[in-house]
Amino acid sequence: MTLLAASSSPALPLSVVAVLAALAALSGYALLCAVSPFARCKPCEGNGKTRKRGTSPKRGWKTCRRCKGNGLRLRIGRRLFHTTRATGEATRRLHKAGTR
Amino acid sequence: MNHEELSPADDPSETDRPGESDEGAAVLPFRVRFRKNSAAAPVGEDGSVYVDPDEIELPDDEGTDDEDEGPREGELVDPPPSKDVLTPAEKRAAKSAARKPVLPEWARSTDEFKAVATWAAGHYCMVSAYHAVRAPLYVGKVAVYAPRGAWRWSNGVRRWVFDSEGAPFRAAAARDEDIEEYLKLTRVRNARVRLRLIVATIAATVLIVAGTLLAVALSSFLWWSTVVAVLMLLGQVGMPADQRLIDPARVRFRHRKLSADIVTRAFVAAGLTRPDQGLTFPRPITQEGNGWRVVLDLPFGKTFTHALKAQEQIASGLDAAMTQVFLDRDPSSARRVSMWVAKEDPLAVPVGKSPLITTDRVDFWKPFPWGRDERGNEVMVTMLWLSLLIGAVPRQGKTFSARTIALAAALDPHVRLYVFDGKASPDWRKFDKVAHRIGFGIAPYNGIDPVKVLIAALRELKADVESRYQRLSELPVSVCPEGKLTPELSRNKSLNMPLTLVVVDEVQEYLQHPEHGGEILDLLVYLARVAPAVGVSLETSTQKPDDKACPSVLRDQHQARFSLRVGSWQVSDVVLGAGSYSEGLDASRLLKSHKGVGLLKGMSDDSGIVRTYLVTGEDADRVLTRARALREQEGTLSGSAAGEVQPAGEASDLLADVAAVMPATAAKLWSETVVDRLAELRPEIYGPWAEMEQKAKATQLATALKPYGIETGQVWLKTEDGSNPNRRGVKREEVLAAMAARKRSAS
Repeated sequence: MTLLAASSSPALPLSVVAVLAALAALSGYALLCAVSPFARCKPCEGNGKTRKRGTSPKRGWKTCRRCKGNGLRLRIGRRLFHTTRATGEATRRLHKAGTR
Repeated sequence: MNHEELSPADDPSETDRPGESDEGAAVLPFRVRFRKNSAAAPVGEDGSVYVDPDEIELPDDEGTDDEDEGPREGELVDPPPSKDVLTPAEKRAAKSAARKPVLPEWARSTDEFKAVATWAAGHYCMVSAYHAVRAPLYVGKVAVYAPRGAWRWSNGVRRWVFDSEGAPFRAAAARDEDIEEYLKLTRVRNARVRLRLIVATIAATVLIVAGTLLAVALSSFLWWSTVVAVLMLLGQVGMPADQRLIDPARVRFRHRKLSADIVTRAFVAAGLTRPDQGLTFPRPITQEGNGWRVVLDLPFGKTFTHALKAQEQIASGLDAAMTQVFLDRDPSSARRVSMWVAKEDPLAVPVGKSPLITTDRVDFWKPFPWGRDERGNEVMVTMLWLSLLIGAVPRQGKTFSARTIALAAALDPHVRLYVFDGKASPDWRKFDKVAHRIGFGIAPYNGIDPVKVLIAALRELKADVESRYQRLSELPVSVCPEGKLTPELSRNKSLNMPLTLVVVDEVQEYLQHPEHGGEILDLLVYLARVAPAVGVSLETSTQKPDDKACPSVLRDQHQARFSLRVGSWQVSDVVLGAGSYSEGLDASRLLKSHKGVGLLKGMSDDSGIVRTYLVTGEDADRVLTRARALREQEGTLSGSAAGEVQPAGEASDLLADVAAVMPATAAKLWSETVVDRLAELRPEIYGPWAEMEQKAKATQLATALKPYGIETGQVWLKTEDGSNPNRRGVKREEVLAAMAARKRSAS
């Protein structure tokens, strides 16, 4: 209700609210990535096991191929962070080696 | 010595007595058993046992018989340790002499104690006042830095509680997607954090409760002082690492005792020994001068040269400046190093005024004080029989150190002084009071050309030296026993052979003179080479004696060298002579603050550092005034100082002379004709040339003219008898061209 009220008020236009909300969501997700880098594995939903197709539910379970039984996957945000940092480091290293 | 006589027991007259005596047994001395042969030891008159030192069997004597047989198997190789020969009584006396007093000296004497107490009270009052004045500053510092300290401290606590130590590992595991590892690390971390949270909570509770209790229970003064203490602690934590909350009231000097452990540590750090190998100290470390003398033996195989190369590392290991560490070779062993470590940089300490300032007169035949070495010992030097070269970069005390020697010479009225200063500075001006010949700069001034005066003076000296040799060899042996100058001879005015000191400061100015440089060089070389033996010493100084400023032909004739700070070790080697660097003499190691400090070599057998005494301009003036009075009194004032007009040597300007003897009508002349005419013009200079053979004449002229770029080519002329031979000769236009070129380069 308050959010709606704020959005309707002329002092805070809707676009600003949207940007702020997006920023808040982004920072929240970044914090989540920092504190807990791993999330539940999607195919096995954190079980570590998936159903074999066309078998009975009692014995048709196999280890998840994606997470190899851990039931966890690296969050996309965290993976992004790692790649960007690795690229940055590589770039720095290259720059340092090139300028002597 | 006859034992029979001394021993009453063996006296035959005494042996009869017991039988004769009615009063009972006579008193007989005991027979003293001495050694195995059980001969009766004679007893002296005072009853003491007499022992003939020749008869004592010394333990060392045993086994001398089988010396020739060589070592036997099973025998000890090392000689037996020498036994302590002190008697128990002597030991007791030595020990009681070595006892220390129960209380130190100052605590036993009332006056001393009062003095110490007064000093301590004054000292701590002063320290308190120092801090009281700065109290507002301290408050400000605490206000700035205590929050920062609190932040740092709480951050530290947080890092501990939440195990920040392991964070990088968890991040690495996440990056590598090593989920097993990540889970393991997280489990460890969780367990740790749980425990530490509990501890932190308990500690925080205790602290808060204790603080509250203290606030209630303590008096307000105690409470506030606790708060202040905590704030100061936080302030100290928040300080930048190079600052301190409270300034020390006094400067702490690095004033420590040098122990064998420190020395060993330094040598281990310098790579000269290994920790398990250590060093041996043949002598205890003792104080010497304002420093420590350490004599040590390096491990076998390491030499003094190794130590010399590692001098800087040794200094670092001793936590001292390199200029504080002096390494001396010990002649007894190649691995023995005698090291002197100064407590403070001894070279930067001014050595003080020269004793010459207060000396009435000096005997130049004897060594006179010139300065002190790094240990504060006086360095005596003498200028007899040698010539001295002084080199240094400008503003390092070159002129001052040279002048101190000249002043000593001035204070001996029987020393004749020749003073020439190439840079015309005020330093030498006052020597006109005593100097026989004197000149400043290279430019003519007041109608006197100093260069011509110098040339005249040097020619005069050369003639004087030659005549001295002649006369000394003619003197009878009774007067001149070894054909050498003696103090008596030098002071005999009728002989006119006084000791002479020739000082040429900034000699490069004269040697690089475009016209007369060559002749001055020749004359100086002659003097440096020959003159010291008849009492004419040369003292030259220059900035950098390279081949242009001071050619090696002159440089190498100086037996004694003194180098103040120079730019590099190569220059130092040039000044001090090749090979000085490898001997450890390197004047480039001296610092700019080491004014008047230099390395002296060749004055005596050992070379080393001299910190020359200071004589300021005023003091020099006073000394010279006194020296003049002394000379007037002795009647030895001569030359320029006595008011004589100095002869200006008609400079032998070869080019001008050649041009003069070639009339404008003659476009070319044979060399021999030129030489003959030159000899007519100036017989005193060119006379010897004319006496040569025809061919030699031409060669002589050719070599003399070569530096001016004139070559004597074949010249075709007619003779009187009509033949027209082709001989070597000079062209007038070439001479004129050379003169013009010289004029251009001079201006």
